[in-house]
Amino acid sequence: MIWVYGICDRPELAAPRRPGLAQAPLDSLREQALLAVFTRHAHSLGEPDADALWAHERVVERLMTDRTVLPMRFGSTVADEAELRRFLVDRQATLAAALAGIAGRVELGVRILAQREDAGPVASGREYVLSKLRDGARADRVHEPLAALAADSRLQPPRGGEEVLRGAYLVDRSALSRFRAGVQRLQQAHPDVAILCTGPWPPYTFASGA
Amino acid sequence: MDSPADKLLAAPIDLDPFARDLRRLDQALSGRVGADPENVERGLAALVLTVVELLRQLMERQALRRVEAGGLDDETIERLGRTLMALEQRMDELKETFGLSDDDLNLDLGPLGRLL
Amino acid sequence: MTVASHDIARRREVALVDLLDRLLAGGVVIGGDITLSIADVDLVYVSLRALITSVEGIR
Repeated sequence: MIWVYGICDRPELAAPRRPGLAQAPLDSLREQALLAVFTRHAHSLGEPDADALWAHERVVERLMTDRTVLPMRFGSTVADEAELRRFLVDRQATLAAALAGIAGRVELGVRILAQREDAGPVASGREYVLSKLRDGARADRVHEPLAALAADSRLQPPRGGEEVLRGAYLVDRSALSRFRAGVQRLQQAHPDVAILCTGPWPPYTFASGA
Repeated sequence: MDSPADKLLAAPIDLDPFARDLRRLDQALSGRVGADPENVERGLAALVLTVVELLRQLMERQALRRVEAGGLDDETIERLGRTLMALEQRMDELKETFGLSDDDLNLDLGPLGRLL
Repeated sequence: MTVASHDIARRREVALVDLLDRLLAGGVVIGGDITLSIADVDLVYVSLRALITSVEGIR
């Protein structure tokens, strides 16, 4: 069984000399302009825990230091290298295009929670509507300026409760500190919400179409 | 790589509300799903409910936009709100019945991208 | 300046939430998927994220 971490450009660069999951050594497979980085495992890896998640993440981040990498979803496995190669051949064009779209960029996550004035259940239909409109406005006030600082952005529908925004922003590395400063400025300007910004992450959210 | 704690670029002092998700996501990770046939059924239920949830969200967004555009009397707004509330509640009940969380409903449709 | 260990644990948890969101629902997908088809026509490609617990996927 083969566990795949990412698809990279600069295929002339070998896989980094560091272990992946279960301390297995990293290996790579080249198919034209693409390089897939993986580890081999004789047995199933069992139930994933937080450490396994970070182990996968560490490999992807290490790859990001010297090349562009499309991160694989956690749990992306294939039976053998032949299957991996078929995947690269079949998806050559979309993968190459996706790599071009994220080159030199990182992903930042933003979550916004509103401090609710009334903790109780909504009293009327009208209140429900007004409350949702208020949330939408709160989200836009933060999202618009941040989107302007990013190359791309994806918003998820908020998860209910206090959450009014859950977004991913694709930001040029060179714009990272500007983005961060933007978040801090917006937090000061809007004390009625709590803004969380995490990252930099490999661009998982912007890779999932590939 | 930065240590996990270094990933917070900007954060308020009280992080508890942002950490609450963890228990829910923990379930998504652990062996909540059983043997293969169950997986397929859950996959199907998740697919159906995702489509229902998508429609609910679209309708709600449209309704809110309509309210914002103005011209609706108070009674209509009240009725709209009550219906949207009822829909949201019904959706929560359905999710609970099938033991599905918001994460389960965000299915990846491959070339169509993520549904929600 | 020292940071309380509780703070560090919290920060780690919050980062883990955002990481999970990305690892489990983002990224390029390969293996472990179901294609729903009718009469040999592929209609919906479903990635069953819950199946990551069984790393070898559906065989």
